Amino acid sequence: MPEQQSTHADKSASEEFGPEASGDRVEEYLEPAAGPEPQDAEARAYMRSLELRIEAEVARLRSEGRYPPSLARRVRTYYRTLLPDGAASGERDFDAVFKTLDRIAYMDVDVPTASSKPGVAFVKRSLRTLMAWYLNYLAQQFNNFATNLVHLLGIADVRIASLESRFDASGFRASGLLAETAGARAQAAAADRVAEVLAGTSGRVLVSECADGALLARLAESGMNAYGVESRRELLEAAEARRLELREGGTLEHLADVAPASLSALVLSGIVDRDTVNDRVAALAHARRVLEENAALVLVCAAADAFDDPANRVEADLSPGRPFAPETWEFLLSKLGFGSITSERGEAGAYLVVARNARLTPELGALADSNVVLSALEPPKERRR
Amino acid sequence: MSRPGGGRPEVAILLPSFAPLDAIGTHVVELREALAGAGLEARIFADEIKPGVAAEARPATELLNARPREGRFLLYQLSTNFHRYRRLMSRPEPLVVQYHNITPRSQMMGFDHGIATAVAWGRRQLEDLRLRTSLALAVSGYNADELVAAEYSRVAVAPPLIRPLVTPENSRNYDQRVHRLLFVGRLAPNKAQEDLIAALAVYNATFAPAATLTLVGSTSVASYGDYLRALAERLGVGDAVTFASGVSQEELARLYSESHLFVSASRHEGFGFPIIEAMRAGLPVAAYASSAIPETSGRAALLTPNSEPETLATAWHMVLSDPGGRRAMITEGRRRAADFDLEESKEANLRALANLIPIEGVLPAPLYHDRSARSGVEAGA
Repeated sequence: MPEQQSTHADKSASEEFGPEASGDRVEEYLEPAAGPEPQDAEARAYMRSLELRIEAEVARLRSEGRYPPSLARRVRTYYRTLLPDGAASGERDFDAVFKTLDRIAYMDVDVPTASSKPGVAFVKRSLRTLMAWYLNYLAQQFNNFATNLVHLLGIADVRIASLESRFDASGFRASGLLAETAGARAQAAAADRVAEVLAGTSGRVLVSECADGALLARLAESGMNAYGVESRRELLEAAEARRLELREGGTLEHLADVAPASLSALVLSGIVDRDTVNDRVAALAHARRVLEENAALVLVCAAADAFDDPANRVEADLSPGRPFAPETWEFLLSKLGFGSITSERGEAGAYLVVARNARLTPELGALADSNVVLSALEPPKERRR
Repeated sequence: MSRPGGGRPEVAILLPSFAPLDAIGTHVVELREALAGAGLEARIFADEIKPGVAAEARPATELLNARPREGRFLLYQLSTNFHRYRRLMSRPEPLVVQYHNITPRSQMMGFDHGIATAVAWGRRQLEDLRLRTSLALAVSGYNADELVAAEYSRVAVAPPLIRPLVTPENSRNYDQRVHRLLFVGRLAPNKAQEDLIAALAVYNATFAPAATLTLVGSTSVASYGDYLRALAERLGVGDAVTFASGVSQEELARLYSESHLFVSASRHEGFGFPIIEAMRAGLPVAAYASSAIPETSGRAALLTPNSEPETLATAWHMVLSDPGGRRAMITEGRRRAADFDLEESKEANLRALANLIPIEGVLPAPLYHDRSARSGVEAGA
């Protein structure tokens, strides 16, 4: 059988069938598996054109109010509630390692018996036959353990993701319970002025947090391609009634998913008044990434002393931060590399800060060394679903 | 074709489980016919032979215990784990592995640990078998890339053999308000039928209150089937979702013929047989662009970048609300399906196999990957 001999001529039997058949690949398992990608540029371009078509249609339907956030919330709630913990369809922060573990956590009960030495294969086979009951017993226990361990890690991932969401902007905030906030009032009062500042903007405009949608509606009336993000359901439903394009979520959570240089303007509200300094800086850093060059960033801020007002007492007590003075925003924006920074007073001490996204340079000033800024400037993690 | 001392070459097609109507069962029967037609002796061996095909195959042990024979080639169909794979590896005959893909364990997690463990073993066997394999065949470029990543040295791509269904007279009526959506594939977590159900809830709430979704396929993971049914009920589309298993070929052909859109949210496909069946039946396809699906569907399907409910529902709406676009998709789909014509696919399989098995009158197809050739180039040979 010449074909048979020639196919194995370069390997000894022990090389072919020895224990290293499994063991020598362990190092390679540690290399992350590459994901599929269309083979050629033409195929990639075709896929991208489909993506853009569908994304544009989804955006249009959202802007017509045909995909209200309440519907998406209802679908996702049941989807997640009924799905077993650790099932594979959720997002995973540590996917690559998890896949590696998944590939290697298995004990092969069928021990290789081939050998290049005369008689050894026979001895091995005999031993395997004699030991089969024992090896099977051990291997079954190990494999059950390994499968349960992988499952446990899947559950741990769900729990960690839940904790992460609790401690980042997308999670629960006591102030998120509030419908009436100083920022929401400032936003409604500033609607005409923001529309004036952003007049002529032709690309996508994001208003986050959009509250009941008063400012967003004003921008949409002006013909802007604007959408809003809001996490408070009561306000979201009020905005939904205005038939606006909306997303449910927190500011940082949403900005992390926005593609680089994809917004022509960004209006930030809420987070600028009451969140932690770190979160506010992270929001600015995200703004640097998601805004086109020279695009406008508008901060709609409550008055610096707004939390001294008894009308805002509950919000003040439930919020981790306090409104900044305009000078503080100007300082932070300049340190992050924004240009053309101006601030102007509005009604009841509220004010607007407007800045332009200058070309991104390696030198972002002192704040660029902060982990908060650096992590916010990283591209968003690839979403699994 | 005669061989010195051994008669005509024999190809022993081996697979773990042989069922009459599943994709691989159909493939091996057609492959056997193709090999026989090319003058080779071809037989099917399986560990588990399902009722209805007992006459078509012999027990795997008969092959694995047989005395080695000159001129015999083993053609193993790799799609899951095989309890006797060490026996297979110890056989001296040249081995060809035809890879149909194995679902990664992580896709099964949370629903059935037994199946999760079994597919993990299958993936491990994929890694080990490369040491013994003289030629590997993949049914798609996606699968071929997995073989290359597992360091198979010689890889060829040959399409699966998809037998045409006898499609009844087209009975679609697009004027009806009821949109009939169809997915074909076993109820398993990697097929992501839950994404279809969630999208149906969005679609019905937004566009067509009476759209229905038929999920054809056996339940391979019982707890997953329970989850799907509960989800459909909770989302208020319990009455709009039909679960159909054990359907005959005639019934399947009728479903393809009567449905308005083939939908898929599957996260892992090594090829995607039903997409080609749908295209043959003149059914437009809207699918999540995962794994091998873009490669299989070419430009004939509307592919979505994710499987979010709104994205899928939008894609469905784009197809079903645009008669001209739908007609163009149907035409393009038939054209794409023609690329997988059974007779041409048989020839492609023979040409791929000719890289190892001498088949009279058949020239070997170019290899997708040939490590020995590449080493030669690198070494300046």
